Amino acid sequence: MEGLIKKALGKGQADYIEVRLEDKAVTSVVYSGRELDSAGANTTKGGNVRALYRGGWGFVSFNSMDQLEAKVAEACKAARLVGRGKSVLAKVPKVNADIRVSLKDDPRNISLAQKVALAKKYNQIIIGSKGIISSGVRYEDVFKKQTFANTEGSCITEERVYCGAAFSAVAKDGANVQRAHDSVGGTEGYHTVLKLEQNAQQTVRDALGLLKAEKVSSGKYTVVMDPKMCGVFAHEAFGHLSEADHISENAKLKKMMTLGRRFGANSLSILDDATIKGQRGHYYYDEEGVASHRNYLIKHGILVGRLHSRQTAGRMNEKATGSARAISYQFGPIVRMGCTYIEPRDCSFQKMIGEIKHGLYVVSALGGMTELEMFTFSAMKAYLIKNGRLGPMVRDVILTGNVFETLKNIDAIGDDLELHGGLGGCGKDGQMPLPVSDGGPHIRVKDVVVGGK
Amino acid sequence: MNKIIDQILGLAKKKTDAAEVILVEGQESPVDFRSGKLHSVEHKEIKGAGLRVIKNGRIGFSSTTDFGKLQELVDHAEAGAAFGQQAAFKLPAGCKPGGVKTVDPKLEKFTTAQAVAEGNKALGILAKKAPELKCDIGLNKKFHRVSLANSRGFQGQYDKTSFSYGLSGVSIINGSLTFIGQDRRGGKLDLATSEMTARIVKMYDDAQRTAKLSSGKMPVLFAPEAMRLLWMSVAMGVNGKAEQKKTTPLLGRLGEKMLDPRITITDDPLLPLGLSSAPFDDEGVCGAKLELFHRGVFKNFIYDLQTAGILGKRSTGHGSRSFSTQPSPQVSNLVIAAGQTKLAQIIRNMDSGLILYDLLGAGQSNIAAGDFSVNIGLGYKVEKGKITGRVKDAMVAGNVYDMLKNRVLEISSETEDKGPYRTPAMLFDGMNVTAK
Repeated sequence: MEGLIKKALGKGQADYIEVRLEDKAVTSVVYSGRELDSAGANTTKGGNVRALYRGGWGFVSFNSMDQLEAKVAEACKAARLVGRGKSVLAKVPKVNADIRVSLKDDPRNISLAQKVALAKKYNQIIIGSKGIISSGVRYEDVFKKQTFANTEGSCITEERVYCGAAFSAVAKDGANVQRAHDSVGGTEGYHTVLKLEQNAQQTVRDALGLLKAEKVSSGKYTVVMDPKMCGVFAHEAFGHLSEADHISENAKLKKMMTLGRRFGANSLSILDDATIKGQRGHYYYDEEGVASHRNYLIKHGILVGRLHSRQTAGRMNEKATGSARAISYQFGPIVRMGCTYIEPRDCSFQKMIGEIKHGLYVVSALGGMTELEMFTFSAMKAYLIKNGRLGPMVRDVILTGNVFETLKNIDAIGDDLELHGGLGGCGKDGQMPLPVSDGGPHIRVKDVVVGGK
Repeated sequence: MNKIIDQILGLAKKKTDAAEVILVEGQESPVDFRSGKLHSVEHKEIKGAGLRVIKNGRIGFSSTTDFGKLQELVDHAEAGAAFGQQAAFKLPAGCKPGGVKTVDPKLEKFTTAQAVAEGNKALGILAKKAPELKCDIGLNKKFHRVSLANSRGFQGQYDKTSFSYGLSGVSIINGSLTFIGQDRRGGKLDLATSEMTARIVKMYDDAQRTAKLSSGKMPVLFAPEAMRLLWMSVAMGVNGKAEQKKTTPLLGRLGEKMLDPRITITDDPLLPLGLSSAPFDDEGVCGAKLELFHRGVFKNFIYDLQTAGILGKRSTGHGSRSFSTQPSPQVSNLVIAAGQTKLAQIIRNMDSGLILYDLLGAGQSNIAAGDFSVNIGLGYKVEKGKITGRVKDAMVAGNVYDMLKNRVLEISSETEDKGPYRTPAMLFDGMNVTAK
């Protein structure tokens, strides 16, 4: 195959051309309520060619590997329709690499029957619990092998294996219906999804707990975020603003995101690091053949970096960061995150809570929306904090604010660190879900606006 | 009929009791402009097969785009059948497809370079007449061939073209972000650049003034694009799956007057060059025109094979899927009967009320039950038959079934194709509007 790709690339008429071929197999088991919804496996084989001509990209994707040379010609033709400027790509080393997965417990070696039995066991814990009217359990593993080659002489084959599970529980009392969920996922192997009985039980407890919880009263609170909410904040509120394709298209954002600007206290550092093995957001090379990096975005409170594709890095005269990713062969790479988190410091959870007279401890996020620097996140659950102690659970907690003010208001950073991958992923420009991780320690933020009753 | 399908069926018949193969081969050529500049030209080809089998009475499914591994496809489907749902149906042996036009020869000849030129033409018009708008444009030409066969002898194949054309602009007008857009989707080449740009320019001009609005009940005219929200809800309501799961307000209401007597809704898979037109559905059942509501009376749910089997009914030919998913019931083209009054006349007759084009946040509402509460993305105040300005920071709430039964004042005599819906505009009385 490699020879064929190189031959095809040699015939192209453009400033730069790359070819990416993909093999993928997905096995999933889905329980919905008492019923097994589906269990089975799908396979995909596909590829694409991307060509750059005078600054414009042409892109062609396909399933049939025949006539690779014609696909290259087609991509070049498309690029010629778009290109009207200058091709600029940040310089990166030529790479020849062959990375194969070797896991002790590769999920591909586990039978479908075992996967079904595992999902059934977790589902039974949830649906068999008193007060629970509906459940959802999803198991999924994905094997992906990608071969990349470009006209600069790089040629990389990389395999990745993802494995994870997601739980949901719906509890009902009269007209009061509450939901809770949890998920785990990574690239470490099948053991990621074993021994999750605790997670299933906790999901049940959360749904039942929410039935009894009062709605939170709206107002300003000192908020302690758990590592999951901290991760959502780092990824959604801040991380997307660090993506250079957004920055180069938006003058207002460009001004906001001037390197060297202070964003928080000395203790605050945020990074995107796709090199952490085992994480869902881990990869060796991005979809432009650039090695993943440990990229500091904020260091000691100062904005020091952002995430780049080779084109955005070249145009802004900065270094490529290995952040150009695509969800599949049907898409060209765009600037994305890998594993985004806030670095831990030295404050214990007890001290963080102990110093709060009146506040909220928010745990796990249901979802969120951002519009430039404004964010809105809803927590799965929260607990009131009164005079330094955790109080009763409250629900319908929605945090809103301006990311820059919120970063300045972080006044304590915990000594723990948790990274979270789950089963879903990040969405951008129609590419969803991209496997990512995020997280951090517990953090404390002053003056957070909380919507509620 | 097709070597690949024959091969898969042959392999599957050895290991299972019944088998069905769908093969989809397609290509699309999206052209995208962003912020007034040509952004990308792409060409995407897809070729994939889905295999559904029945073994020991249970359903298994798998799909692939790797045609070098057909045995693996069969093995996966068979393995899944050990755990799959009980099959409540027999695969159909065949039917007589209704004649339907699904290919537009003009669209087949339309080139990427022509798409780029058309986008530039639209940009040129808008740059002159609505200079503050930053415009995104997408033109996409698609072609696909669907082949379907099963172990009981059904064999069918058809080609289909489709085209989408979206124009949208964003601008800060009087201090607030304003999105204005128009789009066309269907089976034929529909280069409505002059009409679409003219509408955008009119909406842009009308948005330069901001109208005062106080909360209360008022007549609200839903333009065809806004009617999509209502039809989405109705499409969920008539879905046999919702009947099976008992999540539709139409449960047990067949034969009852559920809507205003002026409303007749027909599902028509044979609409010439309709977005969802096809001679047979994705399970090999031939569809035909089906009245869902006749003069307000609820006539039919729609079914696929499995849902129909579970409920003891017959498939209505609404099994819908891609090659990589199992079928589920889905409406095809919904044709809503036109009314008597010209849209311009309806507006002239309005004393005080709103016209809505774009609604935001529909996903947050309980659409299955018909309840919605949405932000008005783009809407205008009408006073004494004239548009007096844009309304900002306002919401509208209601229930789709209540509106369509109790609140219809007028139905426009013009209809427009909005995706799978051919719909008139409708004026509703006493809608709840909240100004923030």
